[in-house]
Amino acid sequence: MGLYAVTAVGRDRPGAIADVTRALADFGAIGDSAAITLGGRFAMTLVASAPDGADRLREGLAHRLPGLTVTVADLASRGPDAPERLAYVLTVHGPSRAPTLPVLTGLLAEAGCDITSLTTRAPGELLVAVADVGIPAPADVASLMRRVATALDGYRVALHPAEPVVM
Amino acid sequence: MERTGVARLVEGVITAPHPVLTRPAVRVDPEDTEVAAAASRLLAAMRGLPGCRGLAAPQLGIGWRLMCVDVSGHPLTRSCAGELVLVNPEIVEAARWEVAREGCPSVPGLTADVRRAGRVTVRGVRPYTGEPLTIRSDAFEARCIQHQIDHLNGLLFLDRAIGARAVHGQGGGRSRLNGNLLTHE
Repeated sequence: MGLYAVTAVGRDRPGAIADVTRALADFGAIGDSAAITLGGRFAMTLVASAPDGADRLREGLAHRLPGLTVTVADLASRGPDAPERLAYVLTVHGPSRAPTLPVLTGLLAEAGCDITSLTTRAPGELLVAVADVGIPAPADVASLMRRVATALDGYRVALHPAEPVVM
Repeated sequence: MERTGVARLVEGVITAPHPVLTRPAVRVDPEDTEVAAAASRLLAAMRGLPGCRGLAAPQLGIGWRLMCVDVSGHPLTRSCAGELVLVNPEIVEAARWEVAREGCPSVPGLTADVRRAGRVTVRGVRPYTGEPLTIRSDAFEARCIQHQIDHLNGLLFLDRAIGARAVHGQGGGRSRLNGNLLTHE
């Protein structure tokens, strides 16, 4: 049984997710997935296991999903467990300027932070980036904040612990 | 008393990114006639914006600790103080934390899931008279008051988004409130 990363992108419409999941379920089993509308287009990423190879899965999905651009990539077996990290939410907003995102993510990478989810929105002249960030423990959060705030002068930067409600 | 707003408002509210929205507002004398006039402007702006349930002075380019809310008739309203204008408001008690989705005329086109207290006690002062007020609010009114006080502290609801998947577009386009008639002096 192979493990694959599948992406599907195309015009957003009711039923797009249903079509993708139905097609994929016919070839294998769906694991993690995320779907979002980006710039008015539907985009979905899934991890799926299937008995046949990537080429067969790609061909089958392309046939079943003619309006969508589909990619299939082999996933290596799961790597070693990540070291312990502290869960934080990082929010940055300010003027919409091109280098903001690479600067922000570069700083996080330098600090050994793991971005587990990232959303950016750019309505009009505003850029908003919100990231779920795993910071290596023990974390020097203040230092990280200073570096981000210095590099992104003119932007509002907020970093607060993720607060899951455990029942 | 510092008037930090650099924008001349013609109509509507200031939208992000704008420095007045990320700068803490200053305390003011509630009996000052200029503050009273600003309170009237704030109320008029709130009444004139369809669907608007609250505004803070920085949204009009005025860096003063002045806000108004009116949640009358909103389906999520429980407590309701009616049309409420507060100078130098402060939250003195907060409880019952809840997550709900918020928007703001200063951030058109986006909403976010934000955790706030579902019950608050707020102290402030009425403009004109300087009468001290203590308001106990819950549900939607409590959320609306906290949202406005955040504006006075230079915070937007985006700063309180609970996660990367908690920021949402509103139909992918510019809302009716975007592109307000704002000119800079």
